[in-house]
Amino acid sequence: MSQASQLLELLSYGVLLVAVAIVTHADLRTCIRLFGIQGFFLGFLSILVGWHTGDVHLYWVALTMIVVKGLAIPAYFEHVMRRISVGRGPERAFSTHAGLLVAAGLMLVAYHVSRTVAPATPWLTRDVLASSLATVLMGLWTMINCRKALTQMVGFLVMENGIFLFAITETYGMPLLVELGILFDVMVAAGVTGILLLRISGSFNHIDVNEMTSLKG
Amino acid sequence: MDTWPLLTAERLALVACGVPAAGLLAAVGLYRRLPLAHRLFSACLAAGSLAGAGLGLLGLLADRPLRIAFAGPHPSLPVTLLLDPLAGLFLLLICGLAAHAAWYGREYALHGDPAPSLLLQDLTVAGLIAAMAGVVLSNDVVTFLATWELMTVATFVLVLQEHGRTEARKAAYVLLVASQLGTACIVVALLGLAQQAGSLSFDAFRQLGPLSPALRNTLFALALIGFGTKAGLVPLHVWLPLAHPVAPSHVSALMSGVMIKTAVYGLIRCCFELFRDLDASWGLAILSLATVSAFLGVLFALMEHDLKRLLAYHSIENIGIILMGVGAGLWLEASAVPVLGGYALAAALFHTVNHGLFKALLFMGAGSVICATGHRNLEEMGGLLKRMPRTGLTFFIGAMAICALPPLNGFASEWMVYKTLWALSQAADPWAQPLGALVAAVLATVGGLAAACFAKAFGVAFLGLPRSRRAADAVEVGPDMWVPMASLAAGCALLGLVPGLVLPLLARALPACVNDAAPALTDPGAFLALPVPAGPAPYLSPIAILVAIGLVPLGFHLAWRWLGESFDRPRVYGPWSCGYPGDAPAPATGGGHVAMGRAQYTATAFSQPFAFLFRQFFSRRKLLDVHAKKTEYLPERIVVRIRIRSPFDRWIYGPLRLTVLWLSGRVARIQAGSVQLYLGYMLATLVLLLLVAP
Repeated sequence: MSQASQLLELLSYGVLLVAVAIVTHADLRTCIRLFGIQGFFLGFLSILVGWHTGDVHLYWVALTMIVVKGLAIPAYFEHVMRRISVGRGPERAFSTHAGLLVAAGLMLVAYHVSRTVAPATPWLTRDVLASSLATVLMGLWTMINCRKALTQMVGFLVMENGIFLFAITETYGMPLLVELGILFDVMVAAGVTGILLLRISGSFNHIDVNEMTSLKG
Repeated sequence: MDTWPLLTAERLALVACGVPAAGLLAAVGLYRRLPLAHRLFSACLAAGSLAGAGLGLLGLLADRPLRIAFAGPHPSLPVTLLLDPLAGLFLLLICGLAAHAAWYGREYALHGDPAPSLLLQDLTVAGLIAAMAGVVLSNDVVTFLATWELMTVATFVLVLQEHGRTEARKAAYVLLVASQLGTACIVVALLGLAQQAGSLSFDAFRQLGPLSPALRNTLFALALIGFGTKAGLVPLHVWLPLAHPVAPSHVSALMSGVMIKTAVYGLIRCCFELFRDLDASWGLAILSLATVSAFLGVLFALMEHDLKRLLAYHSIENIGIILMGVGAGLWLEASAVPVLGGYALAAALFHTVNHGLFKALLFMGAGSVICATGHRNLEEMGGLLKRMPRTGLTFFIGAMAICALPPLNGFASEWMVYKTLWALSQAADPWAQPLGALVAAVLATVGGLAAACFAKAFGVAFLGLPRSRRAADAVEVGPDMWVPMASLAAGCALLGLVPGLVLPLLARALPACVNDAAPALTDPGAFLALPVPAGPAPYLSPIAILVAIGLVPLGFHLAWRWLGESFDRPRVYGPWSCGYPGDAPAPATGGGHVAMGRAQYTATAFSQPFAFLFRQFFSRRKLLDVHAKKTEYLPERIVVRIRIRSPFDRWIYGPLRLTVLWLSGRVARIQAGSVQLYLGYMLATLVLLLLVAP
């Protein structure tokens, strides 16, 4: 196994580790910063893949990744957080232990599934694939586990990061235009969520999604 | 001869569709003048319906059936119509009554404050009429089901006309649920046949070879449940007494008079054409259900004081009588006595026509009374015969007809049903004869109870003194309302006096497997004598009947003369007498009159002996509410409420409803409205698929 390959694996573990940290961490501000770190990890990962394959466009992808996901979106979310003054109340539906247990189970599922999917080249190991799938599931689990709408958005973005990781390990990244389009989508989603949250907290004085059960027909 | 019926039929069909369509356009143009638009459209609808009735008559008289096919929504699904004599008979009935109802609705729908949605209501009535015509004309599964469902939807909308009332919303909901369940059964039955025949056309069903007994019995049972629900057969009748009273009265007349008859039509087609070689036991099953329906229908009617709901329960009773004929017919046909089977079916068809006439008449009469008094409760009416003589007279004729009193049409057809029941001894089954006698006895009881019920309804509503202020102030309705009623009453009398007029027509309408009875029916003596192929006939001398018919009124007359001695004595009342005021002049305001009217024999009192006699058949609870301010020994007001629950509500539908609600509550828990829960479902599904897929 080449050193580059080992480095790639290490970076993907970093992405997954951050995702697990987001699942369990109670503090919203920490979650947002952790998400930023994940963006940096993905950026470095893109640079590594680009260097290995010689694809120049992956450098651009890495740059936008770091700027948008590593800096812009966390900064924007922190701004929203300050504006709506999210309280420090109970943040998770499940306890930390239960959340970690489920996360471990989901990781097992991801590793089990990754055995049936062939990576694009031997250079990309199965573990990278598995951690990308696990990251997607962690994101979904974050959305289920948390009670604040802003954290749910973070979970959604973690899912998106997992999908990015999967794409880059399976296909060496999509064409630049597609990547930029997806990033733009994510940015718009984050922006809309921010505006919506401002509105919701303005109308209801909280952003607790549990209170939305009374809206059902 | 072959071309002119076709040509005329086309013209009639064009008029039947075109005139209402033109009327609708004109009415929409006149939208700002709502009453005028309504009157115009209703008149066009009546004219179109008359043309449709003409088409039906043509189909009944034509030598060969008329077939029409249109291109459908898909090349493999053409819209095929068949106008054979049976369809023609039902079309004649449907459109003939629709013309009366539409004309009646011209004035009826305008009483009170006509809602702005009046034109929509008219359009729905037109849709209902068209759908009913489509049901009897359709000759393939898709057309049949489409028109059948259109009929349900139109009924639903019409029942919801007074959607401000909880009663109407509940009725509409029950109607929809019952109809959907029934239709589901019909869909399965027809598609099962279609699968066997390899075609969706009813013609293919008719040529279908014998099915396996298990499949045939299952499919027929489903068809029976489906059509039985629409017809209001006990115990599938729950929707009928709820839905019929809340619709506008001219719509109630259509629903009760003809809408439920489309189910009879479907059942006749199924029994005698689409399903071949049915077991004789199906005839027994239909006959038993019909007997139970007739008996319970009239019993619940007797307990009812809401005039329209009373009539609705009588529809259940009469559907029972009609299906007695159908069941007996099927039994006799399956026992290889097609002549008597045909006679039984002719009796059923005759009663179908007759019930359509007098039930529509009675619902219109009820509508006129409601129009004039604003009350549906019998206890608020009284003394209307003097104030509304035309309505009273026509209602009386309808009431006599429904009680099967000679010389009206109800008697004529029930007489034929009686004869059919006696003829059951010809069936192969050894216990057909005792059963026939038993059913005939039940039918006689039903007739007696119906007479009691209408003695109550007519007596309390039209005789005596007004029981409420508005009844005292009632005035006769306008000619747009009483003329259709008079026309229907004339029809009742005509068919009762000269049944020989219609019997040959009914003979034409019999399905092929039983039309051996045709000669027996076209014979002028057929009405009185029984067509028995061989053997000792259960015979009742026509002369004996005539003598009896003459002797009974004579006996009554003599008894009246004899008793009259004591009745004719002058009756003197004191100024504070609590009884009737006698011939005392009514006070100018009518107030005192009403107060005295309250002291009369009430409908509740009238039906109390029957309630006691038949107490096993329903749970009747008397609730006494004493309203008092300080002490209950000085009550200000005492309210007696009598609550009657049918055994079906109590033992079948109540528990069923609770079970469904409980299950629904359980199922609804998975939809808690929580975002996380929904995301959790997604995660669970995703993980499951990931694990299962490879």
